Amino acid sequence: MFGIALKSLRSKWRDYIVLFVGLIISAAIFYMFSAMANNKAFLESNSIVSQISIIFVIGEILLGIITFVYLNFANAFLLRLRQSDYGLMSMLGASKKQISSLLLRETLSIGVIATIIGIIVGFALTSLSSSYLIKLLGVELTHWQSISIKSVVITLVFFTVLFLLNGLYNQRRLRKQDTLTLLLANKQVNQPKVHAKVDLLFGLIGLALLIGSYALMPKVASIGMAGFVLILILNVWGTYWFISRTLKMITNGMRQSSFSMRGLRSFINGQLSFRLPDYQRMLSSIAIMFALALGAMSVGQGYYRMLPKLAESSYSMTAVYDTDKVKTDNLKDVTWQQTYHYVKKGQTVYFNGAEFNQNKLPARVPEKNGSSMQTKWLTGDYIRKTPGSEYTLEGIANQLLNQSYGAKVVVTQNQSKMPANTPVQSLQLVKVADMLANEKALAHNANIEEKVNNTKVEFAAGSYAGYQQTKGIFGGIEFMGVFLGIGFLAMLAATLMFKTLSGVADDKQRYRILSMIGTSNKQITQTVATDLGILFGIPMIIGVLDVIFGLKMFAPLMAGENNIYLGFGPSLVGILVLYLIYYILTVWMYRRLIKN
Amino acid sequence: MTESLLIANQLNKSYLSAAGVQQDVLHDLSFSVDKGEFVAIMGPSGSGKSTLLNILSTLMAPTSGTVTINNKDIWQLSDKEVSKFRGQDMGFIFQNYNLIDSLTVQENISLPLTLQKASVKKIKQAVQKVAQMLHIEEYLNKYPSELSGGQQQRVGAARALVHNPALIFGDEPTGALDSENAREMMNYLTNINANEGISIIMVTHDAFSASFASRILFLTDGEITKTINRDNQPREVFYQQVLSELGNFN
Repeated sequence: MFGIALKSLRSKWRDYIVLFVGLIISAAIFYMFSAMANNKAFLESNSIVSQISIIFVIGEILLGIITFVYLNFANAFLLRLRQSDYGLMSMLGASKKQISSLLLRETLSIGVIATIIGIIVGFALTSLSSSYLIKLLGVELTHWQSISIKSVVITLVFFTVLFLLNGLYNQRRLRKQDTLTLLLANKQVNQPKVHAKVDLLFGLIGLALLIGSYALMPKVASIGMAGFVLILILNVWGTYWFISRTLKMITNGMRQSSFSMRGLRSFINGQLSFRLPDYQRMLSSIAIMFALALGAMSVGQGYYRMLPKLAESSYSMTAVYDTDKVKTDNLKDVTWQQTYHYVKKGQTVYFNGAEFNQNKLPARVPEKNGSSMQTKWLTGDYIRKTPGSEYTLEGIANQLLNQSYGAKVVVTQNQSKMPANTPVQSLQLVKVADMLANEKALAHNANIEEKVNNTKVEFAAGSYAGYQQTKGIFGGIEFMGVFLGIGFLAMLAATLMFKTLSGVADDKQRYRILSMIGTSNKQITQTVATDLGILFGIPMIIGVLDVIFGLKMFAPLMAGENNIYLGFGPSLVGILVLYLIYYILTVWMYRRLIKN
Repeated sequence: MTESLLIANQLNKSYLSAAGVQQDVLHDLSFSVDKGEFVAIMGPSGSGKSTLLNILSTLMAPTSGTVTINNKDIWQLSDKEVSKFRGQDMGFIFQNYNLIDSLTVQENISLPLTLQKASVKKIKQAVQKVAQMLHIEEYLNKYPSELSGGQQQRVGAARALVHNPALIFGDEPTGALDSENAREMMNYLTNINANEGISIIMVTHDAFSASFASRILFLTDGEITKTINRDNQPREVFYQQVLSELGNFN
């Protein structure tokens, strides 16, 4: 019986290649993610917060669910592929038991082979994609490994179990169907019902919903949380109705128009109108996933690029050095530099207020209207009299005590009020005009500071340390977010590829007729490219529009409208390249399938 | 003397069966069709008549031999030229209609013209004209799946005729029709043959349909074994002659 299973694999190898490629991609993506999730050293060295592992667990569950759905779809495709053969076998006298055992063997052998190849592809993809992402994000990743034995085992077990479950499910379905249904599988026409007026009304509503969500997006700051929920509902509902109703309205209109009476436009329009009922859910999900992936990448990258600016705006100084071993003469464009003295006693750090009267201490305070920060120069007297104004000093004190919080600060009136019998130490505060231009020198200085005082970057004060901290936290999250976003999109795009290719039997007949009545091979290739281009293009265009308008919602986070598109360009290029590869691959396979 | 439109010269077609045995379907077959002629090809099933029609209409390549239409060897044409020939010079009425299920009747009929990038006005006029002639105007906005077999056959015929081809191939064009519809279809084909000078080559196993032709080729085991001409006989008389010829065959 196993011999028969292998032989039937050979008889329909073209269709199986389609199935295989999809499965390999999904196994490879699963492996990639798992390799990252199981790479403790990588996670620990790149994320300061421990919650990061939770994000990973959630991510893995999500990926597991989406893989499960995907495999279900792939297996339905497999069953469809074999249904009429099974019908024939059944007619020739094979028992249901024999056939369903054959089906299970087939499913499992395909699954295991595809998973193994997928894992090998996963090795390559992991190292490739990580180097691309590292470059794209400018994140430094340490302890990154492409090959993880644990992940290989997890992927293999997970996929085998899923294939086993799917195989059993297919068996059940197969047993329920009679021979005739099996033989006549795939012979139904799904003709769209046209109700011109209703279609027009609903089509316009769909368009209005989507446009409405776009119009509200820039105003989210003023309409608050309820507004955000409203936008979300309008957008999701609008996306679905736009694809299911508005596009139907457009294809109806095209049928009547002179525009479609040229070349193969009417054919392409017919293809779309026949596909819509079947594809609307999938296209809507892809549009939303496209927007989420692109949006997450754009915001993440934009925010990542903003980190230096944000750090500079929240600290009045670039760095604090607690040792004179650090020479600040390696820094360029120093805008302000001052040495102060202090005394450490237990958890308390004493500063001499007179020093601040002489050389005022800069502090970042919110402007009166509250939206942005400005630098205020404080005297010792002011700090002593104004509760809360000593927080800049507290940050410095925590660095001096090498702790994240809890330091007490006392500003004395003058030198004589400082605690006696304890050594007076000095510290240098420095501010440079451009932190990024000084990044190397600042890193060098931080290194010396760490060697001398064992100062950890997460406890240090100043914009450089703040930048390093957020970069560490954010870089890790961002890397995972982008990875997941691309992974989901890749899988959804693969599903679209699958669905298109699994419907190729109907299309093949249509293209055969076209060829018989005088369509050249070149025209057929162009028509296939256009037909599939529209299918792939719909979710892409909606996704890109979603992000163009959606990014306006992030204006407050990104410190203003000017910065919202910082990360959009590079993210778009990255995602489009991936999407384009799927599209080209689909056109190529589809063209081959209809030729034969 | 009338001019030859189509010349088939020493056509051979053989398949390799699954067992690896070569099977000859057509054997050194030669004949010609004049401009404006209406030729029927008859023969028992398996005699190779559909294969012959597919080869004559560029849909299938012969193993050897040539087919010349309007002095051009159709098997020497490029992909583009073949498409142009199919799209402009010939029309094909299929036994199983071969309508595109995702297009309305109107769109199906328009296809040969939209492929030629004809003007919208010309397309509308031409579609209207053939639809009127074939009595399918009321179905123009329906899908093929909403029509009966006879109606679909007429739509197929409309598509084959809409672009005024010089030559029409028919593969059992009445195969799916009842006698009333079959008579109507054949009257229609006779009409366009007589009035518009369109040549017709038709494969059929039905003596009634064949009797509308001016010449009938009988095919047995891949060879033309008999040719009969209608000359000036009335159709009914010719029909009796065809029937008796078929009797001789059996």
